[in-house]
Amino acid sequence: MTLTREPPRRQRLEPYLFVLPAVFFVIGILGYGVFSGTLMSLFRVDLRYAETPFVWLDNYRMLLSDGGFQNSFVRTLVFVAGSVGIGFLLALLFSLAIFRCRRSAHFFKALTLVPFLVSGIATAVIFRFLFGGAAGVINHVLDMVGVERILFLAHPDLALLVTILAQVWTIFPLAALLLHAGLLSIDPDLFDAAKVDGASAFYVFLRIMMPIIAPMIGVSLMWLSFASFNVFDITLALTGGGPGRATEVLAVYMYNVGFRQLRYSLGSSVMVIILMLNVVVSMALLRLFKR
Amino acid sequence: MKNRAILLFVVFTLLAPSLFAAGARQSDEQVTVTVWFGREDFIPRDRFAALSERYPHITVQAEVVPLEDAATEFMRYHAAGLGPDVFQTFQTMVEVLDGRNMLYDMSSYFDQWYQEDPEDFNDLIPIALDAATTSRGRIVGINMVGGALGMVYRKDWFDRLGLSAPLTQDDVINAGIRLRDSGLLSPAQGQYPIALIGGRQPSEIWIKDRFWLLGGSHTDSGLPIIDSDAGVQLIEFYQTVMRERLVDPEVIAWGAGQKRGAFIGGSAAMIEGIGWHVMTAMQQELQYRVNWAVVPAGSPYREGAKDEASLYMDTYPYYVSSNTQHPEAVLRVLQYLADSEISKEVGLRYQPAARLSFMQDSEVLQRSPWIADMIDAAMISQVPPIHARQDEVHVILIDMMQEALQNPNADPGQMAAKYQRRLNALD
Repeated sequence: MTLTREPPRRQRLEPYLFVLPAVFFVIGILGYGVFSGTLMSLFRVDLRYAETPFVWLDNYRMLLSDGGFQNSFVRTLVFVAGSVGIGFLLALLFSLAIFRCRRSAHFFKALTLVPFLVSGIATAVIFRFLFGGAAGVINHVLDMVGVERILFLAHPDLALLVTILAQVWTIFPLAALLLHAGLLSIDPDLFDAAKVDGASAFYVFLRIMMPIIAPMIGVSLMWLSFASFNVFDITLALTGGGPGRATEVLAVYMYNVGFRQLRYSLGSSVMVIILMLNVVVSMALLRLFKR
Repeated sequence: MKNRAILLFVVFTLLAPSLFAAGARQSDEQVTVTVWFGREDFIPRDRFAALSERYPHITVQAEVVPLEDAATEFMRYHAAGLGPDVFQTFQTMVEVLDGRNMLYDMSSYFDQWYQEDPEDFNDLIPIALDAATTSRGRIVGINMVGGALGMVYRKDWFDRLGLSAPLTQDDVINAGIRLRDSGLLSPAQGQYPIALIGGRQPSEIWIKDRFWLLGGSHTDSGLPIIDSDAGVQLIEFYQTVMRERLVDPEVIAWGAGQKRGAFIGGSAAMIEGIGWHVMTAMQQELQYRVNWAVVPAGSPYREGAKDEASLYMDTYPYYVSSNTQHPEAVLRVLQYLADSEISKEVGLRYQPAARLSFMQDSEVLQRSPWIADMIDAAMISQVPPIHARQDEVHVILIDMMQEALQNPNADPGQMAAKYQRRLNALD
């Protein structure tokens, strides 16, 4: 039996003291924003009127009965599912590829990160050059091989797909690096043991790598979904929410309602809904990938 | 009685010097006027040097708050008793701001301006004050942007095909079909007869511009009456240009940049709703009256409804905050911004001035020859009617335009009725 002496009280409190400024910072900035936004969603705050009466859940009722909001909600779910699905697949492929790189791994890691460093507006411009108009790179290539021009940004479904691709391009690098960090944490002896036992590469991937990096998978999926629920700049600059309202995801809808129509409390209600979606999905992912 | 008179005399004698001193102090007191400009380019190049020379006691603190953010930022600051004395924003916000008593009634100060210098005051074109006059009749600022919107066309191409300037909407469509069939334009290279904004980026100015040219009207509350001949024609226009392949098939994703770029780059023969500052950019690539020209004021109108056509102008007036403590100094600042030399300098460099003398100035006309053809348009342009929920009106108009572009064979009458119901629900 070993007796472990409990550290003195001051030593036990030290870590919390170091964390305290960050906690204050988060509560001060994020907490205040969320709290005041949630509170605002219970009032009618409309810059056109001086009065701000308490309206309980009227803003939410109004949203749920609004065709524009319903459309944005569905579009957002499709957008997030697409971005997370494609983004995760790409991230996994890239992380495995980098993991296999014996030489220049650092170079490729840095290279993978480049799209993440490009701003949303610049990404939108790049994708407009790629997919927009007769002179767009993709259509130019298609024209060279005799394929008729595809109206990527004029077709509702294709425009949504292009927006998803633009979003994936900018968010998957961080997910790839998270997965890569998980892969690096695997004890190399496990691979050697599996090799001795004659396990196939697919078996190693499925039975050894995936379970071990499960928490990192959870974190990268959380990042991908969080970034996709909140996407605003790429969509606004690439399609403006169109054609029709095919790419008007919730964040764009929130911007239009809150900042163009000056209906602040309605915008706040959308913010609360986006926050709830983020929280629910993140909690589900944490629970699912808890080791 | 005598004693009382003596007492009054003594009191007056004692107080008079201090009263005069106070009056003198008030006029000499250093005053700082804060002005929010909507764009850096609106700030005069001399940065108020001429104003300081004439009124040494006035200091101007110039800041740039984008036009798009200025109204909401102003409301926040105003609520806290802060903010600028003068700020620049879209004219569409005036009723909202005035409804909340956030703007200062400068009417009496403009009377003072007129009394002091009637010639200078009368040189302002009507939109200068109309754009800053509220529905309550209060003059709450001044607009110094005076360029009307116009439709431009490729004159060289039209001449080659023997076409004349399109005066009606039917002319526009027919000219488009002639151009399409002429072989002059190559759709494979992205060349189409007409370029327009079909995207969701704020495009309501151009929808409204066309609506008014077609003779569109409004309800008393400022809602456009879409379920009308003009409204149906507006929808038909968007449907026809798509159906007849007169525009790029991806026009539904186009913004102002693509529209202008198509014309300047030689990929379109006609574009509407062009401001004078854009024409300046055109002039660098194409020569006016040789390669391009503007259609006469009030065109293209609806066939048989020329008299119903109206011209409206979206403006960015300078508004005066009701929080200002120095309306007299504010008047001097507004006079400075409206000064013929100062506004000419800004006008030549950026956006045209709302002054008749500017539009008739030989230097201006030499540099911008199209202005001679657009003075009429500028003089008759009006302030667009504004609904209390104007931004929601805009969203509905954009939805309507995009549905028309996506459904070129749908019944325009039914579409007009559907969107009218949505508009009416805003009242």
